[in-house]
Amino acid sequence: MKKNISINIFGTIYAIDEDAYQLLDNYLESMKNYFMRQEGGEEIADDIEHRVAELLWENKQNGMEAVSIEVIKEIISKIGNADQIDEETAIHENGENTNNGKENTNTSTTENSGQQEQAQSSAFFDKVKTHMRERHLYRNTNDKMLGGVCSGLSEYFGVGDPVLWRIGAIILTFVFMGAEYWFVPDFLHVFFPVAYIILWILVPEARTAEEKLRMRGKKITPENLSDQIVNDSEEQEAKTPQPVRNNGGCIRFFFYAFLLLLLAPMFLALLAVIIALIVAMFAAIFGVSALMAHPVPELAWLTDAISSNPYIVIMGLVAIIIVIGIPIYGIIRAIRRNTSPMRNGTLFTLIIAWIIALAISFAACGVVGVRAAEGFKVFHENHITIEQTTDSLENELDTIENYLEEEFTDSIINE
Amino acid sequence: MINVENTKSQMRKGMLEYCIMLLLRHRPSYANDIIEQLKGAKMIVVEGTLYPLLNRLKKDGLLKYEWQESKQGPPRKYYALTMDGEEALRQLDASWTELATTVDILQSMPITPLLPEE
Repeated sequence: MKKNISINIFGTIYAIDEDAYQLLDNYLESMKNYFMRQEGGEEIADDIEHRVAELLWENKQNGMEAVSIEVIKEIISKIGNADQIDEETAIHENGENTNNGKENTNTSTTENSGQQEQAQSSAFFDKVKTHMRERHLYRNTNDKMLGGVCSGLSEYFGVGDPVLWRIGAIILTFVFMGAEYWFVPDFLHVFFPVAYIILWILVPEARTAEEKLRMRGKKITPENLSDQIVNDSEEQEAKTPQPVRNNGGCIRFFFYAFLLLLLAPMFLALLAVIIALIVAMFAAIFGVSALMAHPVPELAWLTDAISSNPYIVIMGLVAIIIVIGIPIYGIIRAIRRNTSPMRNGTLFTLIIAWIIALAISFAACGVVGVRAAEGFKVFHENHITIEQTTDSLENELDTIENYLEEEFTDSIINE
Repeated sequence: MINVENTKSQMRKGMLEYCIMLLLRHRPSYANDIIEQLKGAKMIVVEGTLYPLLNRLKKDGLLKYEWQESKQGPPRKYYALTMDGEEALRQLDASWTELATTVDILQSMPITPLLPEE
């Protein structure tokens, strides 16, 4: 089953499948873009749209109710894509030029080694150039954690899995945050998060099938386009929520009611724990920051420990947020019905990120805790010595008092 | 082999505009007619090729077109030669005849064996 929409081309209405519409729209758009580069391009694109309308009309006359993606594919292969048209209309000089180019490279490779090296390096640059020309940097929102920057980068460079890029980015983020020990300038501490946000803002999202192909450096041919669109529509179908069929009887209802009664307290308890944890976290953050702003001398050991390692504290805070945030995210996903099952890659990334964050938060807490403990020890020792001295002074006073009292009573008795 | 293919396609490309004009010599036609004819003659592979060419010829003032309502589907552009176009076609005819004659002569050259040097 496919969603169907109706389109109006030059006054006639056609019912067209959604994926077919996307393919057609992409095709006409790419033709427009292609012909825009030459004079009268708008008119040529219009002519082509007319031709499409004509073919659709013929299709309709043959009794086809809805336009399917196969029909559009056929139309596109009939009219041809930009490359094919270019190939057929190219004027003589182009062909000769490419020929000359080939001969030139041939002769240069047969000459001496210095030139050969040059040719090789220029070949490398040519490779890079074609790579840059064929590929565009887009955010890959089909496979994203935040903005799809990492998976877009991995597509752009064609290297590695997006998961590896993400793990790399997370690790480097923490390395740079705690970079005071690596003699790195201060502004680099937040380099990665800031760079990520900037890329998120500046790099466009790959929305259309054409952009998705360009992101991967694939040729924009009708076949590739239609493959991409079919893939997208399949993915979309997988994502759309399946309506819950209510075919259960009475027993099922009671079963669920019983289950709900049984599990509700547990869920409530879990929810309470989570809320308490979040509240505690915020309380700790606000409390400590308030303490930093208005230091209390009795708690100097704590504030000192925190202010002496700011980067470690920030790292630890970020890590703690991740450690708490990822399970919450998971629970929210689990509660919401209409989410598709998580991709393995995403799950893997989350687990790795959680473990790393846990390790870092433990380490940060450990470092700060040791500092705090040392500070507290010093503070406590001082306190004890003061107490001891006051105690001994009080004792002495007591003895003096006692002595005086005794003397006094003695003297009275004597009298 | 690549060069032969290249030459063949260059020949075809060079002839395309002339062929389009020939098709329009006696009666105005709309794009689909021209496409059918050219496809039948294996001059073009994809239909899209035609539109830039028609556009270029129109821009050069060799072709003109007018819209006509169609009982079947969307309105159509009927292309016809302009006065300039007819003049250009006559010139092209002449140059084609010339070319064809030359090629004929070259093709039917008698085989003259190489004489051994004395």
